[in-house]
Amino acid sequence: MINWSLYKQSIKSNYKILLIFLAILTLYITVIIGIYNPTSMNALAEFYESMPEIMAMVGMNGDSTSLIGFLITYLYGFLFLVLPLVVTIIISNRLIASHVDRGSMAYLLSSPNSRGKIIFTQIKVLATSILIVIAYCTIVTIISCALMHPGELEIGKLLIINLGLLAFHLFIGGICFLSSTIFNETKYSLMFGAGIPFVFYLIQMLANMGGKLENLKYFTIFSLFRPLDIINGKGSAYLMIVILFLMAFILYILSYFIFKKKNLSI
Amino acid sequence: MSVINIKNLTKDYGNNQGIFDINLEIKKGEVYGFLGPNGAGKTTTIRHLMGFMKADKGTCCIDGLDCFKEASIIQKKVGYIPGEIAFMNEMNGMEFIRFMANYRGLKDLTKAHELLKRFDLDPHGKIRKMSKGMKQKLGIIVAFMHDPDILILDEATSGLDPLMQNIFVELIKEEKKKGKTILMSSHMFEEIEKTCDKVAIIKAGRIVATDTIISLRKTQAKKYTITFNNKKEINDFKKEGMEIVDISEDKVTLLVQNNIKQFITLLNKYDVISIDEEMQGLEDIFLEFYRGEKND
Repeated sequence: MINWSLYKQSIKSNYKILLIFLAILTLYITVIIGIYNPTSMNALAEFYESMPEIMAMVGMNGDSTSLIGFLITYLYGFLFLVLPLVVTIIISNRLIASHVDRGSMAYLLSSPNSRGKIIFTQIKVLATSILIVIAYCTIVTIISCALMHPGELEIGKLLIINLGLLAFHLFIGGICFLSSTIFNETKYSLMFGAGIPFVFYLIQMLANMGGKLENLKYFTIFSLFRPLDIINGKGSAYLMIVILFLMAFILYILSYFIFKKKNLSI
Repeated sequence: MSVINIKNLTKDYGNNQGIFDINLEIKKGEVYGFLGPNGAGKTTTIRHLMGFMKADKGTCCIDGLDCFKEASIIQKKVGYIPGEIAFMNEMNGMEFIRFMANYRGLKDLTKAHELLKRFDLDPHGKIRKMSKGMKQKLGIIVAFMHDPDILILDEATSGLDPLMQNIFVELIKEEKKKGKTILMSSHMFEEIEKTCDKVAIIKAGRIVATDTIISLRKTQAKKYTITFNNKKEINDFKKEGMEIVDISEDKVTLLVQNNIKQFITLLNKYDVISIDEEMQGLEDIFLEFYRGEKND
């Protein structure tokens, strides 16, 4: 079903970007977890008081009295959404569109490997990359919490939240990947692959500000990932995870069929 | 038995761009030249053969299999040099050769090493830093290293120096002896003439002629420029009834076709300083082709 030489090659040509983002994530995760102090959350609270709208926009307005609530507020509102998204955009674009744009796709196709095999291999590379990022975030979070606030993290809840996060990024990856298969030029692949998720994120930011704007949450895919609902045990939040996985699956299948039928001027 | 079979292949990009009603049949063991100026549709036709593109109309088969639908089966036997070569730039040459071999499921790199030596290529530099000629050599090696039965070569010698072009011609001749079926596109008649049995000439997306090299050579007129000692000689020479295309101060350019003996005898009578054979451009060959058709 997949070609391992291509898989290895694709991982090899992308691991550096991955490492850079993992380093950035490590830095943020450890710093933010270090800030947490349940008895005196004054510094952050003051920060929030001084500019509530901006903090709300990036989702930093939740309950910060429990460690997991604190993480949801300060990691899952912005960092865990946007940083892996940037990785996904870059890698998706490189997996298909950049080969087509540059012409090296000619070499991938002039082989006994079918288009289907090529596309499945590249989907697997993207999925692996996303899995690595999320798994890494999970591990760093658990270790940092264990070191700095032993015994306080509800690991079970964190794992479920991160399962949701994984589903969410696989879905976003699906959008980027689809864009990478549809467009023959990287500039368009990037424009849509990055543009669509970022427009949704902007809508999400506005929705977070509350008031009338709150209704905007029905127009953004970011509402499908609800870490707060997950820890509160709302059934709908679990359903959303399933929906995200399903939609991701559909997007990848769609990419497969589009690429199979596509005319390539390479 | 025909290996490559193209029937009424059409890809219309609008504005008269594209290829129209292309018909080609290449038999096993044939070396077939595909000749045409830039933008005539050679690469578009080849992209259909490689299964990169789907035809608007018509069919295109290799070994009886549809080039688009069954590309992965066909590609087991095919070696290909793209018209515009693009590799994975981050690799070095040897890494690319190894990658393509593994990717194809090829274990034996003997032929690749042999070709590296033959084309005098050091594959250990970054591809990004390679010259056009080095990249072309790398393209040739990757196309031939799995010893394919069918070779589809799009402007295979572009960027190669004359020495390497000759080595390439030798390689084609060897492969031909082994019974390989080869389609090679070019915009240079000389290159096709040295290697091919048959040739198809394409212009503005249409095949204007298909013929064997031998009969093409017969119809082909040679162009000579003669420098005379004085003006009077030129005036006399004009009356001889040769086909003169251009006259300048002391030079006469003329076409000679099937009457080379008459031409030589004639020259004896004159005070000639030098004779030069002009290189024939593709346009000239086309012109003669049309001329020939009118004469028939």
